[in-house]
Amino acid sequence: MATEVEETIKRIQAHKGVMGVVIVNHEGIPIKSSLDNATSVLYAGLIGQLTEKARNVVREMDSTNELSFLRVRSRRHEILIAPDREFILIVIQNTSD
Amino acid sequence: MENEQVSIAATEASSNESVSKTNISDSASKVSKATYSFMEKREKYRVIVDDIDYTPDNIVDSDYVTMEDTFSHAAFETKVRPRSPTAKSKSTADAGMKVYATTISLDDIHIDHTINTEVGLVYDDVDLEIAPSAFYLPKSRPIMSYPPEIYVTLKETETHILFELPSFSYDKGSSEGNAVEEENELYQYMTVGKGKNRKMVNEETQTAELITQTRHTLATRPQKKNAIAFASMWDMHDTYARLALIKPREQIDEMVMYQSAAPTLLRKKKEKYYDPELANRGKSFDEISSTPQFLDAVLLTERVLATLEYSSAQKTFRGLVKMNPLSLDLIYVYSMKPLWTFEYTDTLNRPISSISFNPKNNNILAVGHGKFTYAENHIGLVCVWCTKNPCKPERSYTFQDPVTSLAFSDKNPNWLACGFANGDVLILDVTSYAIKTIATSKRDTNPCFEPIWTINWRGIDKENEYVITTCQDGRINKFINTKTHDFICTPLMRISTVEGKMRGLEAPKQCVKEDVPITRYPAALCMKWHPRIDHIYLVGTDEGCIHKCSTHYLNQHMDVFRAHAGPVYNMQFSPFIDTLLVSCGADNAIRLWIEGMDDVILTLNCPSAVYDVAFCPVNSTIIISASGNVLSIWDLRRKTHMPCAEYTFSGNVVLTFIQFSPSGDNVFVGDTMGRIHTFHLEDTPIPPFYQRKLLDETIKRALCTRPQMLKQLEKLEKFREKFSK
Repeated sequence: MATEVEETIKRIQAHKGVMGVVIVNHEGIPIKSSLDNATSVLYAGLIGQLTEKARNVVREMDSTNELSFLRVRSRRHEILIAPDREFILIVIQNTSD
Repeated sequence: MENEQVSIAATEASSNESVSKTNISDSASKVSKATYSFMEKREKYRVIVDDIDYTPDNIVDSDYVTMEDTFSHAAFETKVRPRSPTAKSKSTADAGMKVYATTISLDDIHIDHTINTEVGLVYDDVDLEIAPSAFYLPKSRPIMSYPPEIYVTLKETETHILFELPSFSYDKGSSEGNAVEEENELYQYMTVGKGKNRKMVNEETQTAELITQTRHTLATRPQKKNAIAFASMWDMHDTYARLALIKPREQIDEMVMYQSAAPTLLRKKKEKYYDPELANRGKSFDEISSTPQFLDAVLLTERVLATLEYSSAQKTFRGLVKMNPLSLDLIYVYSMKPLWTFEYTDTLNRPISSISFNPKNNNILAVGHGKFTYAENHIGLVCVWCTKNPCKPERSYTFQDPVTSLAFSDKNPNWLACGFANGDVLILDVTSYAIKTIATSKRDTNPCFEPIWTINWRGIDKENEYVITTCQDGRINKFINTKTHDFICTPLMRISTVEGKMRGLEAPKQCVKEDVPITRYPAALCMKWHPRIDHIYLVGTDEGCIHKCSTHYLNQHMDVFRAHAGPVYNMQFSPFIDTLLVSCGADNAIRLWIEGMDDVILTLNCPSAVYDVAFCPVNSTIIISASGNVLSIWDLRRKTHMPCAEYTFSGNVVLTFIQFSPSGDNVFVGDTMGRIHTFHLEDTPIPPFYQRKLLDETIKRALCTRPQMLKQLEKLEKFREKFSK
């Protein structure tokens, strides 16, 4: 089961255009990452805050609703964020090709 | 024995001990002046018989402290002094009762309330937090001076009820008053009135004598400790979060077959349990990675990632790129533009046996992989794909036996019924990542052991539906999922071989030397419900006949006709004309039939055995077929002797499945290599406005060389029109 999930992460990484994958636990510590430590910690901290804000927005608009996915598109890349109570899955992909 | 001289002489011990009245305070042991101990007096005397000292020892061992030694009256002591048991041996000898003159005036006696009366009791765990003794009154300094003003506040205290006497009188007219009046009347009647003369009997009883005994116990005072507790917002939050995690343990609902008791009484109470592991979750990757939430997040991410690659293909798929009907360079070439292929390493080289689209969300399809030829040895695999992610199946379940048919349920779109090559029927719940079966068929009700070729759901009423399967041994079974979690199979019908001459196709008469039937029951390869009449369904067999059966008749078919010279692989009703049926078979032909007419309307010839055929849902005259590795598109309006367009697949694949998407633009094709190709149909004629009329004209045109059939068809139409009113 664990190897299957490892494979999942490898598959995501092997996708066309993916630059990196970071998995952050609920404390904000990156537990698995394909980037270097400094970048991972930077992403974990900043994106954690953004996710909280986004989650609040969705909850306040409609209290029965919840945030399921977040995409931040910039000029050079796109950051895909899949938040959950226990973890945050962050994938950075290159959009220009 | 008067010789024995019992001499009791004053011991010398007494001379050693000399205590004067004034030296009380010097003694190590605090024996008060008031105590009188006989022992000291007695020890002076020794019993000596024949020069042997027979003096009995003191009962009380000198090592052990007696109460008298430890007791000290608060009135005579001012400070606590340490104990020393060794000093006991030297007890002050009071040679008799001592009489004291009261030299202490009562004013000088100062009882110090602050002394702890529990002196002597040594606590093992002297703690700073031991609650102060109840007898411990706080020290108050004597008032040296009075303040200039003393404020006296008078407050009303709570009401203390000192005496309460319940009322014995009630208002006349109230319910209690009436009750009291009735009782009074009864009393009068009993004592003074007529009731006095009632018959009475005297009885005597004796009560058993009880011997009682009183006991006393002494309980030690419980130790009290001061402790503080503090609940912050986070403590409360955590507690509520933990409460939310306590969920009832998921158990199989053991609904027993007793019909007498209400179902709710028989169900076991769901135990609620709190998983302590849940509290510490999320620390390591391994723990997170196995949760379904993580897998869901990965699924979403993969879908998004797939759009990067397939975005233009998906746009075409969804119909966002529209063909301009007014453009000048339209040519009708019926081209198939490939969009993508659903393939994955697990599914490669596993022939596809069945595909089912989800009725609720037609982006989700379930693909069953089994075996194509008889000799192959594959294990079964069911994959659930989403058109948003062509790279990897979102669910995949492996089974021991090859899967032969699949069907999604209409009422519960997450239930997938699967039929296997060994006759088993399962209902899977596709919402879970692991195999979760809702029901499994059992050998005691399901006698089939041969492949289940088709599986369908049919709704009985608003809530219930059952599964209908057709098997290699000709059986048509109905499966019902009961409340007791049994998947009960009841036979609907069994298709039997038809002998003799049949309507339909003109087949050469078979030469039979001896009439020995090999199989009495042919395999039922396909089944379709009649579009208008609820109880009629059509079954195609591997002998090439199509049987028209009804759920009202359980033993035989209503009608039969021969459709093909080989097995009938599939058949379909036209979405525009209810009575038009297209069937395809292994004799390389696709045939069109009209209900009520015996002869075939139209035959379309293909290069090899046709495994599947489909009508286009938006264009009434377009038919698409899969035969060998060729995908053919027929347009009946234009030509019927050859397909309008053909698409050949590379390699040695056989196309086994073909279906249009509901929008009519996209085609899904499954092959024996385990791949599902998605195509976009382009350059087709614009769908006509009067679809039925066009199809009607086409058929009539096809029948122009057979005028009798044309007349028959017209009669049939008139008859139907007249009686359908």
